[in-house]
Amino acid sequence: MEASAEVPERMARARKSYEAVKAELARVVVGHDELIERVFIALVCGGHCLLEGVPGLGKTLMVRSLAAALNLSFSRIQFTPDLMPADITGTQMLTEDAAGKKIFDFQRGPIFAHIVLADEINRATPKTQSALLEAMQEQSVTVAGKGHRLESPFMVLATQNPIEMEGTYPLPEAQVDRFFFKLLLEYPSREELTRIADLTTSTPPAALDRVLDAGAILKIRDWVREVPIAAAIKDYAARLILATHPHKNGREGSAEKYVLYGASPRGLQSLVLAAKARALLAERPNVSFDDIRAVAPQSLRHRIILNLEGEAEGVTAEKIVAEVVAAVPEIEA
Amino acid sequence: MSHDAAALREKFSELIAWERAKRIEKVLLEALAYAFLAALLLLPFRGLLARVSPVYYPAAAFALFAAGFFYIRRWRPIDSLCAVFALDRALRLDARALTAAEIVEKQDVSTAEHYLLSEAAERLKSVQIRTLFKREWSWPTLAAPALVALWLALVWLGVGSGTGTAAKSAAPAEKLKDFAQELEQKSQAQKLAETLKLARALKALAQERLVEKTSEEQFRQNLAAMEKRLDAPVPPPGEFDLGGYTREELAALRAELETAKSRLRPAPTMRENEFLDRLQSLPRLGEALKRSGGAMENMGPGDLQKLIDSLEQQAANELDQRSRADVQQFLSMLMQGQEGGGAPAQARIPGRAAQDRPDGEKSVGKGELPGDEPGMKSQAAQAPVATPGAATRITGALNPGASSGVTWRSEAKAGESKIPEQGAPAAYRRQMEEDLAAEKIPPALKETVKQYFLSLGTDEKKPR
Repeated sequence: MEASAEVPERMARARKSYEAVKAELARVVVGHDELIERVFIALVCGGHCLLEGVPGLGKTLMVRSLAAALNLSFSRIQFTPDLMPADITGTQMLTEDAAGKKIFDFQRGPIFAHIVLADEINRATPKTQSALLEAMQEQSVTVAGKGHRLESPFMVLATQNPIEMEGTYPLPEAQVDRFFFKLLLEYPSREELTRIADLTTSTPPAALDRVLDAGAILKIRDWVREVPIAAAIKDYAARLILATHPHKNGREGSAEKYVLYGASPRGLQSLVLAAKARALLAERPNVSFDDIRAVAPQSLRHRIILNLEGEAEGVTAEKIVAEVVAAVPEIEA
Repeated sequence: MSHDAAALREKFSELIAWERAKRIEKVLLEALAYAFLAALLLLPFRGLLARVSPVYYPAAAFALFAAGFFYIRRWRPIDSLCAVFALDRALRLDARALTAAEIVEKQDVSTAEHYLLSEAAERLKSVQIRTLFKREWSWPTLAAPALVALWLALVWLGVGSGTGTAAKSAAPAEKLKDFAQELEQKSQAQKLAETLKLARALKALAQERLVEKTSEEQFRQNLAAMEKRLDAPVPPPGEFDLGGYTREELAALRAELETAKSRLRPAPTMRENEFLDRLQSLPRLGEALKRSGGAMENMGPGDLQKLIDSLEQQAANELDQRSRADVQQFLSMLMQGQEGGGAPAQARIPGRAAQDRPDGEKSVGKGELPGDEPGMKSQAAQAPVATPGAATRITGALNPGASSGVTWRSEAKAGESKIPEQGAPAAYRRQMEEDLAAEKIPPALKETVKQYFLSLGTDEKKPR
């Protein structure tokens, strides 16, 4: 009984932490409430986010502010076509030791940080993009046959511009799949634009307070995984995943017509884990169907590959996900 | 198991038990509704299902529907899950109940799960399952009482009973009922107690069959038993021999006896032997006394009173016996007709012969035929030629007016006589009376035939 009394306390602490981060970010970032929540969810789930939006929406600002508010190390990598993998992971440098003997010393790259901003990730070549694969999945990098562990928490926040496609290299599906969420940045409203004008043209705000540290984040990460979820809800999530696949969902719909390949099992992991985090932040001791539905677009949209017909007709993955969520019943025999 | 888990388990058990009970009720009510609907649809075709009483239609349909529904809607694990899910939705528990229902089945419960159990138990503690999930009535369950009532009404009204073989099987019962009703009226009019009892017994038999209380087989057995009962030996004739009297004569005699009894009552102004003068005007009484060898002149009023009472009783007995024979004959014909697979083609009710002509035309009585003056014999009358061993049909215009045909059943079969020797003359006379009434005897021969059969049994020298 005493142990169970901890649960509401930890839920309250998780909620409070989120509110604190959100409040701190609100000092410099205008709007994007849902985006901030999703980024925080990805952080406490140990996932990475792909942020997509036109230039000037505050993607970089938000990531940098987040790192500042979290008291975590931060590095930014501007992806360009001439960027090499070693520029990300680090490289072996020939140096001399104290005795004057020449040795190879590993110079850590910018990937060695808690929060890594991969700005305009689609401007680097696929070879360079792939340098992130191991880091994102295994949380380690291998250089010259030697593995180097990255510090926890580790989070990659990659940005990409959806309109300037010239001179870009679309991310390979394998890499896209490694992103926990794909978040879309909406253009600010009139009120938000006014506030942005106020914030950026007056006296700059004071430096952000560090409201959360790595230890607290790792604790919340453990609590997230302890949130109970009913088998029926897991089954619902699984059926959502299957419904994104053509020829496997048993339904007639857009997925059947426009999807080349549906969401991967990583999509299910993302769906369930994100739903758990959302429940925790809502101070609810269990996952609900609404949690699954709420995180489905961010978890699944980048994992659905449209076929030529879908591309030609301008069908979006968001539309497919919305249709699937509306069609799949919560309980099914 | 913690207290919360136990409380939750109990609540979920209550919920599932209630939902199962509701489903069983619903299945039974819907099966009932569909069964009576099917029975209603079958009712017009009950003739095709002659062997099955309509009472069994809904029972059989109910068994079929109930079996089918119970199979299709059998309780499965997903139904338990759906019940808990419905509870979640109803109370807006955000899947707490659904998750708790799984956790209560687990042995090892984590801290977070333990907290969830306590929270769910707290929220479900005061929930009244039966109030929250009330019975829902689908249209078949709502229609069930109306369908039952409609079906009962239609069965009561006998809808569909007039079609097909069912009608055929009911025809003998209808005939028996008509016969019994007529016999009852007749016996009431003539004050024949025994005949009245018999008529009522026959009517009850027919009624049982008509309301389907008895099967056709049972009905046949009842008819056979009744016929056997009527086979009991005829009591010996009494002091007076009334065997030579026709039914009409016996009725007239009873009427005279009633009159005689009233005339024998002593009046203060009556002279000595005045009653004899009064009785002289009753010819049938005189003739009866004469036949018995007595004479009114030699009797006092007391003796005469006793004699009249005895004569009246015997006349009533004679009429009862004749009715009994009529019934026996009717039952025999009715049963023969039934065994042949339908109503007897030749079956007719004694005393109703005039209505039973095959062409449906009402027979014309002797007095209604033109041509003959009362008491005068027709000049053109000739004796018909009968061929022994074969049915003989004589057709022809005997008189101006309507033509008539006669069928004599002269075919004989070898074997023991079914009619006791003592009752033979009476049975012959009854047959003669019926044939006369049915206009089967040519008018010119009626008197001859009548005299011949009346003379049977009265003259010992005549061969029988």
